[in-house]
Amino acid sequence: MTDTHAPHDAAEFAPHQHAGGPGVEPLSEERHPTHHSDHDPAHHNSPEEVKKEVRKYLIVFGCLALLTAITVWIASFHLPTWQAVTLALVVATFKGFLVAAFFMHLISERKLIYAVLVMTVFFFGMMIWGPWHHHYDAEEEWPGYDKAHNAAAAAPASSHESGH
Amino acid sequence: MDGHAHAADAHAHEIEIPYTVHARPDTGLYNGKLGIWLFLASEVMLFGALFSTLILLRTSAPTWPHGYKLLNVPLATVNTFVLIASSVTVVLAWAYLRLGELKKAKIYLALTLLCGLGFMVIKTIEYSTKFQHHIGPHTNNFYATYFVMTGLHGLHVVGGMVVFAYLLLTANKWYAEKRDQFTNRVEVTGLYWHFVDLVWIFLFPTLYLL
Amino acid sequence: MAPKRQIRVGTQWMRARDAQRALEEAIRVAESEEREHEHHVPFLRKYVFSTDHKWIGVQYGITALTFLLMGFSMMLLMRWQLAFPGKPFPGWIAQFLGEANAPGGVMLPEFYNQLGAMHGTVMVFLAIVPLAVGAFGNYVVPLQIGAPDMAFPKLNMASYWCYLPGGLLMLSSFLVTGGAANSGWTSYPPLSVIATQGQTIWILGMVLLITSSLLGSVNFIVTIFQLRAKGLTFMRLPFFVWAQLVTSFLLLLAFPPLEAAAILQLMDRVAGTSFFLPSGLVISGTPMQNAGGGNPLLWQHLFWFLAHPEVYVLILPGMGIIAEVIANNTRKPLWGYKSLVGAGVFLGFMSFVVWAHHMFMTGMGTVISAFFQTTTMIISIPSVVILTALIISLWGGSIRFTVPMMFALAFLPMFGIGGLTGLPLGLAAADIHLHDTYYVIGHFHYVVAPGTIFAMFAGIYYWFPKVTGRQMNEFWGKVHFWGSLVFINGVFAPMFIQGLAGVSRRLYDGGAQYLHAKPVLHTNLWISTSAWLLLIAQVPFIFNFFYSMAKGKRAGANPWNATTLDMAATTSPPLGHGNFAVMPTVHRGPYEYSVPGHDEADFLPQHVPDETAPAPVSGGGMLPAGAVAQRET
Repeated sequence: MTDTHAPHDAAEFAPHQHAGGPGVEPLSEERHPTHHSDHDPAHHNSPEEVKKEVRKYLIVFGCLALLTAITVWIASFHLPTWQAVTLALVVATFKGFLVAAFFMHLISERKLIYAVLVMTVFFFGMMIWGPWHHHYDAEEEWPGYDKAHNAAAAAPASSHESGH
Repeated sequence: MDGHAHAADAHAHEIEIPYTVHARPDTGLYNGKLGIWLFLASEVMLFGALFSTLILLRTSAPTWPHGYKLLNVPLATVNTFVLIASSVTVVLAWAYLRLGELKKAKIYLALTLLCGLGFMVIKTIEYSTKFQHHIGPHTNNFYATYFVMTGLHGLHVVGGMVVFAYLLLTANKWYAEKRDQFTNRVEVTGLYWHFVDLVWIFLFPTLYLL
Repeated sequence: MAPKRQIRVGTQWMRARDAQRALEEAIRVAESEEREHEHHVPFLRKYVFSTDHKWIGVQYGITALTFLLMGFSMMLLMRWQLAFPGKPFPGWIAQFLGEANAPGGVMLPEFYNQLGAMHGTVMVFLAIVPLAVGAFGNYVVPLQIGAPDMAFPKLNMASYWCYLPGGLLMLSSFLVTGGAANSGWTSYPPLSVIATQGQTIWILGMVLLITSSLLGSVNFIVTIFQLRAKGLTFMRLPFFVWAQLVTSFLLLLAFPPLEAAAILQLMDRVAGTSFFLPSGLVISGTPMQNAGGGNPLLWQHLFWFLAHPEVYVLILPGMGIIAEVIANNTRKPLWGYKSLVGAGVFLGFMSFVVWAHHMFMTGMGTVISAFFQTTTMIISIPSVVILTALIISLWGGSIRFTVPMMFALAFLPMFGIGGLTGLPLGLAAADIHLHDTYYVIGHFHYVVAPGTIFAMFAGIYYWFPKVTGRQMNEFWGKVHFWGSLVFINGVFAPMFIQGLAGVSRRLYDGGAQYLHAKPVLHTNLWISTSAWLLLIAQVPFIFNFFYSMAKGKRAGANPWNATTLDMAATTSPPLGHGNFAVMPTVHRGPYEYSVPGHDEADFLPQHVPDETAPAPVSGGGMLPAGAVAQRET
């Protein structure tokens, strides 16, 4: 996106833009039109800009298709679990970044949205960590404590064939 | 992405909510956009809880089957392409709306809907193949997580499709009367749809390839 | 010469009582004129499926208060069994409960468990949060930020209409075979997975309630960010609005994991999965036929990931209300506004990283246990900051002992006790002894009952005149206050003693089966008696509430001479027409009371322009007998 406007500090919703002026007017769009081009990345509506964006989208699409193919290709090597997981996650994260940054134009989004997302990612991390680490920590201190699990794995309940 | 009344209404709904269509200067956002991002944050936590479930159950299980042995990888790969394509079509629809080309925008919206439908068809094939072999969520925890995660994701796809269908059916009227608001609605629905795509981008390798 | 004992109303002289009647008549005429000018809005659209935040707030309020009374009643039934174990209920209650629940009038243990689980669920999810957030938040926040309504009015309506069916669905579970959910409000598997069908209904009800919450939280956050009036910067927001903002973030990000967990538990119950069912489970001698391999602790993690932030959802709006009431009734600004805001935000953030202190007894390793103890100790700091700031705010104040203020003053030590008693629970070593005892029940009830519920009462008495245009009766308000304060302490204080003695919670016989509980068993009767007297203390409130709606003394737009924008709106702002005749602009902070140099009045509202207008007429307050009828614009 071609938004070169300096980002707002999300914490400072200062009344600068509101200073002065008659304080008693209704807060309607007719009286106080906003100036789109400065603030709203979505409203760069000139044909050239939009066409540039379209080109960008198609390039990203190409990258995503390629990365998908790569993901499947790497998976066919059947690497040991940790390597496989790491690689798969790295590729997936990059694909996700492309979708978020360009399709969702997060790359030029407001600080407020970033702040919400950063906070969310942190809590997401906590939620992924907690249950797993509980088990991991307990298993370290008392190996074999989780007998219920060990019993489970040996006997999956019903017969099923692999394949489709 | 919500509304306020038209002046011509007989309803006593003359309240006009500011910043429904145009951005508020200090936040730089219009209401619907902030709203959808907040909703998507909550969706991250929803799917995140399921990923947490998968991670705990998988790492604490002495054995866990490989997805590529039990699931249809080629079909799911096709589905991945389909969903990514649908993300492109929706963002193109939005671009054409901003260019003022309603017809093209509608075509791309329809393509998005079609891709969604294709995704669900393939999903149905996958599921029914399993059910025919009496494999279901009850079989073991691998299948339980597979069905719940892809099922919830599928519900989200259907939800998105419903909204796209509504937008498509009402496009002419909205575009004529409230073009900017309609463009915003397409943008906001598109953001939701990209998120659904994003979830699949992580689901696919996690369930099918590892 | 003025006639004796008469006052002038307009061009006439009349007696005070006649003046009041003339005023009522004038208002009646004005309202009917207004109604004629209105578009005719169908009843269903105006009052049932309203999209006006004020009416939705009222809907939430009435519904939540009804559920509050129901949840309270459930506990009162339980307390009979605890005070008189095995003794039959009085005839009419026994008849109401029926033979299925109380054969021969004696409560069955199964029914006791249902009451226990539903009391918790109803109080937390159907009563307190909808009241604090749905009612007060919806009504007051748009007014306090100078907005015409919420950002998404239709979504607001959808929120309420997910809540009500969800609540009714939950309660309907009492009527199915096996009764309502009976595995605690915490619904721990494997018990909850093998429980009766009421649990499935509980899960479905929860899905509706969580949906309602999520829609609401998006609405609140967008409204607060986007619809603030001109000049209303974040650091000029009333603390109540900050509290609602943080609360909404908690609801937004913490509820989805419970929604996911609820789906997983539903699958375990109806689809035969084993997310939470370990292998080798044997129920009453019969091995379970499921695949196994699940983890009951997974539910606990996902549940508490929500449920801990949930308790801050329970307290924060209450703190917001107390802050408003204290500032208003001390006639001075709050002490430490910035600290309050910072502490509130920090509290919200920390609330996400302490959840496993509910799980110290689940075999956590030392690393993870140390982590959660540390974060739990840290989270007590912002709580203390907030309480301290509110207490110091009293210093040097000119305190008006109005009914809201009395509840606010009581809140301070009550919340203090609740908070302090939480500290031993947050330390794993002490928690070994106290976990799952009545000590825990005492702790959290002190925070929620004389804490949050008192804050809710304060809020009701404070905003009643704004909503209805009439004042509640002051005398009966004070009766309600003193009765509630005394008896609520009578209910919960002995529980600390019981808990320290080792009496477990959720016991049908109240501990009678344990030798170590013997010395403290007699407190069960005290607690139960206090609970029933507490019910009686609520009667003046309920009566006052409804009577005042119809016949209370008329109130103006700003009956308490407050500074915040909600008091700039008209009295009982009409539905469907926005809130302000003219959108306000904010010129100063929210608590400009007793401003030096401003001698005309001891308060300066946020929206009054500087230096131009003369002192605001004290809002049309409680109209004394000699007043001239004032029509608000």
